[in-house]
Amino acid sequence: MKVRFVATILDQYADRWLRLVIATAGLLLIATVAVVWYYFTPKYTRVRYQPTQPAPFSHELHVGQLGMSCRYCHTHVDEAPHANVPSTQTCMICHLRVKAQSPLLAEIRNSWESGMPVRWNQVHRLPDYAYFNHAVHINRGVGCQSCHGQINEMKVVYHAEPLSMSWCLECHRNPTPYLRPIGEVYNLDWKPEFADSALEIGQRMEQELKINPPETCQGCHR
Amino acid sequence: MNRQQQSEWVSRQPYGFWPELRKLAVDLPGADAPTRDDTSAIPINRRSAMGILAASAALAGLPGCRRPDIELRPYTKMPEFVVPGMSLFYATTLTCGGGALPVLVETHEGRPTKVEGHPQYSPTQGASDAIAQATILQLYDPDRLRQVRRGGITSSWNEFDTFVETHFAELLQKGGQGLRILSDATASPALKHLRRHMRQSAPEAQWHVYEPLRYGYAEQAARRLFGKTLRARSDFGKPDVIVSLDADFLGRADQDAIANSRAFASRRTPAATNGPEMNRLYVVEPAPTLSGGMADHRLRLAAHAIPGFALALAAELRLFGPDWGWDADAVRGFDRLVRDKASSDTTGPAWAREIAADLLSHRGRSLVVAGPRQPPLVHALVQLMNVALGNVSHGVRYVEVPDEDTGSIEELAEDAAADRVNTLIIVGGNPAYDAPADLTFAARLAKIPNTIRLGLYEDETAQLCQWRLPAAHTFESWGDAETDDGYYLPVQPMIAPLYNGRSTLTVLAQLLSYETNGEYDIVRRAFEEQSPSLQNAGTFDRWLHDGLARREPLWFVPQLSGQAASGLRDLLQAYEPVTPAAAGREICFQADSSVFDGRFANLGWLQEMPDPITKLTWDNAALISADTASALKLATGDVVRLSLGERSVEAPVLIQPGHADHSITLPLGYGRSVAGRVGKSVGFNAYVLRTSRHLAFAAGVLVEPLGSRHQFAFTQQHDRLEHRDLAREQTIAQFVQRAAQAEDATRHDTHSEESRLIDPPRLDGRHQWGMVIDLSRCVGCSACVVACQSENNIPVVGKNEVARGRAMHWIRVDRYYRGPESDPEIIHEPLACVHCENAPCETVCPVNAAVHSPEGLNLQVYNRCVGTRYCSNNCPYKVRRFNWFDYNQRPLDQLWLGPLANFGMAETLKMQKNPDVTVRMRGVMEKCTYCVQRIERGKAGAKLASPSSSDYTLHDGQVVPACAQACPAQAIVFGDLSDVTSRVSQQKRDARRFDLLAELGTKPRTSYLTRIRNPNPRLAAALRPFTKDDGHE
Repeated sequence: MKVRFVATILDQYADRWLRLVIATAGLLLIATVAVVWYYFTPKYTRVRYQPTQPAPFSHELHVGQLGMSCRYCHTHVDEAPHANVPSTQTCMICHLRVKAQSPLLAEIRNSWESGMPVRWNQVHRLPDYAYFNHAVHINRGVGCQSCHGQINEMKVVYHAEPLSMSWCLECHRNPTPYLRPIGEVYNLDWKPEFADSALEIGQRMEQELKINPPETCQGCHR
Repeated sequence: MNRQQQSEWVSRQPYGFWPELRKLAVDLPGADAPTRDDTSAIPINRRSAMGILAASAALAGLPGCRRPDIELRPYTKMPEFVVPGMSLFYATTLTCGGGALPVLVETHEGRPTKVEGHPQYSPTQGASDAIAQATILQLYDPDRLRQVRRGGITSSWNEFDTFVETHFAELLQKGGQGLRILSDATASPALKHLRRHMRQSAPEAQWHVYEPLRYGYAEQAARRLFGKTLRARSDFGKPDVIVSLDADFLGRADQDAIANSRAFASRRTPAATNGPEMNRLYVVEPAPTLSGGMADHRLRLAAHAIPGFALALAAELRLFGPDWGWDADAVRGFDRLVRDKASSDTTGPAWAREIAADLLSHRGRSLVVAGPRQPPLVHALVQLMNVALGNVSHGVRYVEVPDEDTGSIEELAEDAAADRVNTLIIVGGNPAYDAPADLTFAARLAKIPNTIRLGLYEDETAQLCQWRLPAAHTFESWGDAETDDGYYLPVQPMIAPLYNGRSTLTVLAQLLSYETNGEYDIVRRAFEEQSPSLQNAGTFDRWLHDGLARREPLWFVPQLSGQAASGLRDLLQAYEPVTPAAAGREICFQADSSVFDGRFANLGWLQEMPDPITKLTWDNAALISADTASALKLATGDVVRLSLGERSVEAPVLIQPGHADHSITLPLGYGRSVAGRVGKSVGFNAYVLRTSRHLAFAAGVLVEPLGSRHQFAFTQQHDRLEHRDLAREQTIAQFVQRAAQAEDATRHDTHSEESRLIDPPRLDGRHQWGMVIDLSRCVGCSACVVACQSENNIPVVGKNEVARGRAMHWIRVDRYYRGPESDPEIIHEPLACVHCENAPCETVCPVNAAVHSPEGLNLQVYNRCVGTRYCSNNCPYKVRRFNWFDYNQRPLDQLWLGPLANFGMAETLKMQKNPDVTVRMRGVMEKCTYCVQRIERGKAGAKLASPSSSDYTLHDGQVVPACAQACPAQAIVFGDLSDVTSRVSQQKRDARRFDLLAELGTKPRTSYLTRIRNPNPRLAAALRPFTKDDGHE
């Protein structure tokens, strides 16, 4: 009886089943790792994220064509951690007269009349435990474009860079190639005049401003 | 073919006794599995194709789970001064119990998040206390009254306005007959302005004031002696010798505790060269208090015996002798009267004799203070002692305060009983809960035809009133306040009322038909009235901006006159000594260190803040001495019934080392029957035993053990140092002797550097942060605990969790007893993460969540932490705190339900959180960060102000952690050790410095300064033969 009992479990195909299960589990594991490796990183989850905004504000028009400065709207970016989203009032400074009746601006006018805020969708967002300070970067030669991409060419803003921790650290460990003259920080089209001078400019900047970005956890996590 | 056969076979034979296996085989997509409908040899069949499709669909769905869409809602119109992401401070004033504390409130985009003391207010200079810190939680308390209610039914302000129009027009027409207002004590000129208006528009109306912890005995004594209402303004920084007769001038019950702590502590360190010498404090009191803990000599004495001691002291001082310039006739016979009634039986003659001798040798440089609950006789004696010793204008000054034309709650209760009250408006306070029990105020309140209650909560009083109006919080309303020493302070709102509340000024102006454009207007008028008497009075806006203005108060210099003598004679003759030993045990009422008189009962921060002496949280207890306990055969936790006359209350007993015998101390403010979710049914209500005849203490209480037990939640289980040198203490004589020796042994107990297994962290940062805590200064008030909680988003965990040792406070104040249990010395030692350079926590973390920064901070990276708790187990200081539950997201009574519990935090509580600090979740270790957010903010500001990132200047004192900022005693100093001139560097070089557990080689960044006591050698010598147990450990 005992012998038969064992044979019932480990029948002639048992070995084959075992191999099959192990192989499948192995494949699944590899697939999972591969999927997580690629899809669960900000490179996939964030880049190209482009939510629809309540009002079709075009950076391409305002910055690219009209040449408005970033700071006309994001007024406190050089003195505060946040690059503030402009108040409705800021829009209405011009749009009380310019395109005052445009249907595209209905949401803005509603907000102005009702006093309720325009509900923009956030594009760039760091985790709650990461604290980014716009002002310290702006004042040390890190251009808007470095993190936000070619905003001046975006009709609708999308997430251009991963903004992951390793991406941040890339620059914090070696800021030289990413620095630009302070005067060019808001210039989204800035290119070094000669192809190989970006590094030189960076080195000069680093020496002048004694740039020393933190690599310790304390720099960004509180 | 083979395959077919297998299939056949399989279909015939089930998979042994594992039917699941078969199911599995069938469901495996694309696998080379035999299935019943497997007719084709092609690997991809219908089933596997479906599987692949499903998998792709799942992957295709991934972009959809990038992140939830989050809205940004900018301002419609940008408010002035607001910079998103930067904090903005408003100057305002906190009022409590008739006192006022100017503060700065930090706001983030319009949300108040943190309270700081006002740095320009010279008595406190930026310090605050636990209650001030917790005010921010009160603002956001989700249990506040949210709508107008009429008799338990939701109503509205509109309905109330209609009621006021008809009802009050009629009332005012009759001159306010039957109209009464009952308020708590407020020192608001704007409110006084309204009161004056009431006198004119409704002369028959009457305003009553009730403040449960204001006894007014000192004012009574001054009126008898000097014919004027005087308030003493003591400066504890000036006298060399201080004698306190039941006065806890460092404890919360004293309105000036913060200023007193600051001044007192400034004289607690051994004299610097040319500096003033260290002061000496004698305290005579029943239960140990903060002041008693700081005393160089503490005499435990039942409250009833203190007048006797005061008389004995007067006798030893020869207060009525010829030395003091008395008119000999006026004080004839006083000496004998005093000697007859003085009692020194319990104390031995040494105490009064030696204290008197010390006072006499410090004439003009001493101070005697009496506790507010002591009878007028004690206050009169103390006032005369100060006058005689020449302390007036030096250690103490007397301010003449105008007499208030207000009635008392006793008068109101009487009138209510006689049906003379038609309409009662109750503003603030909670008389149904805390009025003297013999007034049966609640019952009388129910008899009044029209009752209107304006309050923050729907409490015991509101439940008995018809109209329950939500009051606007201090941070939501306009107002003003003045202090006894001449400061005139604004109260300004920084957020619109969250819960639809209206301020006291608005409601009273409406009820009394005061013509105004709103509360702002009333305050402006009050300011215009006050401004001529103010020094350098600027504009109203200037006053709001500065947050204070000052005028010279009306000082009064009392003299030893015939009037004083006759005033004292009456008091002396009326005094009958009562000894608790003979008259039966006494009970003493005192303000609770957390909830004060009960008004802060619903604030979790305060409930969870351990009592500075007992270390008890979420409770009050009947405190008794060990001898009394053994006489009654009681242990800590036993429940007793305390009966006084026909009134009784059940209370758990706590044996308090150093408590006077035959005396039971009952902290007030607990046992609230109608509070919010936090404060309801916590502890017992001692007000039940408190009658208007015995507001402060009463003798003849019966103690009856009930046989049941009560579970307490203490934060400290161990009261003794057990031969370890953790909290060091020396007398000044020992200190001077040791300092004279060249080397202090304590400096050399670190490990040798060679025996290290692990490489030390790289400490090459520009700053090297460090901290020094001066045990000589620390009074143990626990302001740091709550300030840290407020700054660092530390959750409240509830009584159950505290009892399991899971309190989350990043800084705790350890309290140790030294000496015999009957009468020990008390030493407080604040302890947060000491930021070891060789941190034991860092070496055991498997995921590198505990790491060291180049600036010497021991960092905890929340996002790396997986919750092994190895770090906490390896921490010799036990300062790491683990989030056992999602304290921020789950209700505290449902923690154990896990995912079944309700999820989420009240919206208003979210608003309180400091946006610069991560809110931690379950399973994460946390601990003191030296307020890294403030360090980084300070550095960012300094760097922005400088043209380069390395040459910036960060001044000493520019970065202050929350604990150091709040500390009233300036016991905590934080700064940069790489700057040899910084205060913290200087203190590190102090001869008193020692490092906690330095023998472990942890090299902590937080050091301590040995506590120095300044005992009177003559008294110490006199007491030695009487001391039973020296308590050498």
